[in-house]
Amino acid sequence: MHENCGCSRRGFLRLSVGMSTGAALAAKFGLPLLGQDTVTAMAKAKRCILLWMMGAPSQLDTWDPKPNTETGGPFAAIQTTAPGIQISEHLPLTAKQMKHLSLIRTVNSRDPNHETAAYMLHTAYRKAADIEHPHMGSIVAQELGMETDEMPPVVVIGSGSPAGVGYLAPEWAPVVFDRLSDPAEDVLTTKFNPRERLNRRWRMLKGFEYDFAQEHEDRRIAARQQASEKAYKILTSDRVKAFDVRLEKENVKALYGDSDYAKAVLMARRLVESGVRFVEVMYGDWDTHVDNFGRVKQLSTEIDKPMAGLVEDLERRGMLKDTLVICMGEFGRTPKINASMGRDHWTTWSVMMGGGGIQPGRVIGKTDELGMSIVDRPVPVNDLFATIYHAAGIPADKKLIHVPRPMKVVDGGTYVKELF
Amino acid sequence: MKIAATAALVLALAGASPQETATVQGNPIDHYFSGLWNTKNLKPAGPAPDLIFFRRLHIDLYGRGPSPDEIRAWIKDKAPDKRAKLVDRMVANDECAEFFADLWLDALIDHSMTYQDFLRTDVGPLRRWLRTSFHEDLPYDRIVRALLSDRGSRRENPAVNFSLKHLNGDPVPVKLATMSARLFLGRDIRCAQCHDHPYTDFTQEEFWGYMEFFRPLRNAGDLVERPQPPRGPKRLDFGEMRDLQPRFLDGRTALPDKTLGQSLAELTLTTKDRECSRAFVERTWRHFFGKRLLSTPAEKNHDALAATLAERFEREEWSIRKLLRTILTSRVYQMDSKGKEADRALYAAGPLKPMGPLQFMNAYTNAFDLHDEHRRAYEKMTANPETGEQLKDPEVLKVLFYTWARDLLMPRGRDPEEDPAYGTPRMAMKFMNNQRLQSMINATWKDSLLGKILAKKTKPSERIEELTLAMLGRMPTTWEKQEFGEHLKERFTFVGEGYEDIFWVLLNSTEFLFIH
Repeated sequence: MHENCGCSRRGFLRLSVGMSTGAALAAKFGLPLLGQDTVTAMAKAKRCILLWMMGAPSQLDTWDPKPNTETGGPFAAIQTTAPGIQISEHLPLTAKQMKHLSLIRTVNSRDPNHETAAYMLHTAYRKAADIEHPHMGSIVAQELGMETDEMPPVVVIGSGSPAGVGYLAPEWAPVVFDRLSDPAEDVLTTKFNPRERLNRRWRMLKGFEYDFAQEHEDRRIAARQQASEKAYKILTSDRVKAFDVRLEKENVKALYGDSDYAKAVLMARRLVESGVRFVEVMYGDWDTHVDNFGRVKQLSTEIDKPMAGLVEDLERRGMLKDTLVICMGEFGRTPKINASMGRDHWTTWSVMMGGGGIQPGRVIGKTDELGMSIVDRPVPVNDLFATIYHAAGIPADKKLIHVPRPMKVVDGGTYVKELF
Repeated sequence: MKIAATAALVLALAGASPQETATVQGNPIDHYFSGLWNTKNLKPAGPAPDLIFFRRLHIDLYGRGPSPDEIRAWIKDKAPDKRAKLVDRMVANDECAEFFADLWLDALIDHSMTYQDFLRTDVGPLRRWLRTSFHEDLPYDRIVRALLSDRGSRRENPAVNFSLKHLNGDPVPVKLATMSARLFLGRDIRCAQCHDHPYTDFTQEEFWGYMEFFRPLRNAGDLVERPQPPRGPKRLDFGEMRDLQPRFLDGRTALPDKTLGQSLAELTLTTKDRECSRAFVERTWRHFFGKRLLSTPAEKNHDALAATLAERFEREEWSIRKLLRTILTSRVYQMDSKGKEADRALYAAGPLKPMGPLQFMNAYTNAFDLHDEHRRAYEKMTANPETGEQLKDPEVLKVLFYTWARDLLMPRGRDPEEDPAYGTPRMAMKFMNNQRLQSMINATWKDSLLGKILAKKTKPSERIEELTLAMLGRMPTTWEKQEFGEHLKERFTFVGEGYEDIFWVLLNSTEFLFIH
């Protein structure tokens, strides 16, 4: 009953707190008081690229360096183009783009288990027995709507994405291309099925399908045929060329490099440019219990150029202002270095965000000099998600479904105001 | 001989098979629905054409479509009671036992096996045990007893692997308890873990009382019971817990002189409303008809019929084979599926549903003739010294296939129990355009299904017929003969290109994916 009228006591309290904060800010900056709709209209991010770092990267050896301390490891910290921000020496190209990016160094959770934490960092929810929560990309796509019906709304490149469409409608399901090395093998034209042949086959199929659908009136048959229509539309659309990174200009390709990962990141940019709302590219294995420094150095080098290239490319195209870029993993790694020169699981870590209306060059939160504890501005996972959704103009407390039980975009998070 | 076959075909196609549907008089399903049709003034559909029925029965019982040779033998069969005989023969066949073992196994593992799951359990012996049980028509209550009360070695008592799969290290095995309630009682008790159930009178306290039957279970390689300290009053999420003795969902307590597992099994099998047999009837019904027999809060269905079938199932000593026979020999199951959705909702038209993941996997494997390839991939995997022993059991091969296929078929994150697979744009793209699959639709490759057909038949009309039989289990229609025939006359760059197009159309058709 409470849920229906949206005026439970807790809800009311939250509403009034939110209002007073808003009112205080408005007074401080001399702004008119804004309602929810206006906030949505002001949102900047129209699309999002998630660079997912599988296995949990070591924050101390990437975004939150502690050089010359007992926990800091051998890497040096280098100055970036953002005043006052230093990151690992093995991300030199990204350091040059840092003026466009911001860091949250105090994201934290209580879940040191890869499987469940990765789920949480894709859905904002703990895994539950009774319901599957949607991938954040599906929520973003549903809330922002289809930009085109000639592309899938959400694409995941790489295997093992821990979340799917969950309780949302199947049309918002992430379309997964599980091979990083050749993700587009299902969409691109090949000699086996050139376009004129596909068109010819499709025409024959349409004729063939007619009787069966006519004779059997059924929702599931209609749904299956819609899925085929959509697939054909994508395959024969001009936009599908976005999947073909070979078509990119050489000077742009050069920004990313030519590894499989570089091509996948470049494809992500091409896809969001062509109307995909959300692209996730999965990479890693950052689970460095053994030889942390050798492997993090290697992995950092592998991601540095594609990531920096992406930011520079988006900026050059004028797309960075409405494209949110996120780089994160499911948790962090211990400051203490173990006997195998590795780092184990740790639940405070750093997340890089930029574009899509995020204020650049900021650092949110601070860990102590050994990286052992948070000394300022902890950002729980729910707040991280509220921030991501806020960038896209999606209120974190919006209810997406009511049955079997009400589910909000995020269960009680507040976006990081300093990033907007 | 050829003329006779053609004549039989014409009859079959016209839906005028000489024999009446082989339905059994006094079938409780027909009895129930004819009453319903009378009150609603509905005219039920006639029997399904012979070949359609043949395909339906094959996919439903064997999980695969019939081969062209099987179809021809069926056409030749002129016995008046050939449908009834076919049902009898098929339900007793080992292929049926194997497919039902896989269906049931898939439900037991909650439709997912990760690599960790394969190591944590011994799926091979579990599958073998299920196969033998179904083949011998072991009474279902005994299967349930084994699954709920067996303990110990996962190789010697294969039923324990059900529990092992769901004991994932949680201090309280919630997943195992909710799975057991769902599978063996048809009840979804998941809401009540955290709060009293909003739509029923099921409380959180009852949930945790039921939980006590599972709380001592541990996966220590084998399934063991480790007595746990009693719970005091403790806050569990929201509620204050008090009396935490093992207590069944209907309030009955554990039985004296029995182990916890035996108690649980006994209580599960003896509820007032026959919930256990009813849940099995419901699952079986959904397999054959693609929709629920029991009502839900959102829709009113046919609870009285479910009760009748459950009572009969128990009276017939929990014989799964007899239950299958009752359903399969009903007029309702054998009806033509053409018609309006509204009629089908009241069973005045025959069953129509998309293939389940297991059926789909088999259809896909047959269409591309991937059996050898799968076997080779498996042999390669098992030759690797790092592969876990459990995975080397040949029984595991099929389980792996199904696991691989599922990702392709289902939108991730959907509950397969709630949402049957009808294909996604992702899957459609793969089938329409995947480079590797397209290269396998190859008329010049002698080992492909298409290559074999082209080698076996020479006349275009015969080839079209063979292809349609192999892919859709029926003869080509007049339109298809004409359209496909015309297509083959076009100018192509190489011989066989036209056949590849026809194969592509059949593979991508809705009919290929549906059981009608």
